[in-house]
Amino acid sequence: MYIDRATGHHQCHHHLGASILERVKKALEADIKPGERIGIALSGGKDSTVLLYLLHTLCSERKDIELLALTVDEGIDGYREHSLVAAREVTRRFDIAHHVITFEQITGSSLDQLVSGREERSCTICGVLRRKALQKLARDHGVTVLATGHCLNDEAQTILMNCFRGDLPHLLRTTESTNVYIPRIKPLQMVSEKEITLYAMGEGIYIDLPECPYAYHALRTEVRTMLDHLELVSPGTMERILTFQARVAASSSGIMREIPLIPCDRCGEPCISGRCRSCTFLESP
Amino acid sequence: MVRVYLPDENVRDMGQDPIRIEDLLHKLGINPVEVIVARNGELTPESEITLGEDVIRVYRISHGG
Repeated sequence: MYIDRATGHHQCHHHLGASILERVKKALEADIKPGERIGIALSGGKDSTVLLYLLHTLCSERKDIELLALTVDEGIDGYREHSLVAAREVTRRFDIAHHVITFEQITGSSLDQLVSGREERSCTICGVLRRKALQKLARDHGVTVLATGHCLNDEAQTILMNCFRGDLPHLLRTTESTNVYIPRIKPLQMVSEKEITLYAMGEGIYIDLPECPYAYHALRTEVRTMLDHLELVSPGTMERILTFQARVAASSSGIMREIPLIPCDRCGEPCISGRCRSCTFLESP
Repeated sequence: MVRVYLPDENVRDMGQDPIRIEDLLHKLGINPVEVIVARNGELTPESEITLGEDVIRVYRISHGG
């Protein structure tokens, strides 16, 4: 049912599932310690649903690890309500505690209200606020590690976007985040979006949901199309981009100055400049 | 006649000559990396070759989630 374009190998559903599970297991072994309370960032879309499903498969028998699902409701009319229903259903099915936080709770407004008239910045604003909301929800529920459903495509796109923006600190991840943010892991980062979709379809957990109405404005959309073309003509491109980033980050370790974080003077959240990006957005007209 | 159901719900009849699904997608201007294909209801790799009466359904991979 699946052909790995980089190797030319064909895989049936069973072997695709085994291969994905192995990659996720490897990521967990490196990042998870006994006693961990794992918060799964669950939007209800295919990636985070597959993540929840796999973590449940791998961890449900372990008494030393606890799973809970965390959802951020940004307040995007005609979009988020569908995925919220899916998130509630999947957590009920696997008997996993589910907690939701809304943008309205942390900012007083929905994303639709916040970005009205500046839709071209919606993804940036949403990303910053979502991160803040997720950290708060995770802290409120005693989460020790946050697992997100970012896949290979997402990660390769982000690396390229950081290059295009000339954003070296984010490219090399030199922000001093230890002990400030709840650590994040990305167990699906070596699994492509296509593999995730096929796996979800084969397991009967795929739900076709609408795409975010703001995605049209994002730089990510341009980068995605470009990368998909490169992956077609040169299979393995996305994986090589991740390997390249890891090598560059390792080579620059100790050379680049770590950027210290200080509390935001408005909300107390850690930031670089004394005023966090979330508060900066909320104050700007 | 191979009948193709596209993600935008359009339907295209593509003739009876055997063709690799990947080439079929290229003919339709679709990047195989961005879609999932089912042939006669079964998920299938793009390396497969169509037969005369096949029904091909193309699903666009939705982003996010």
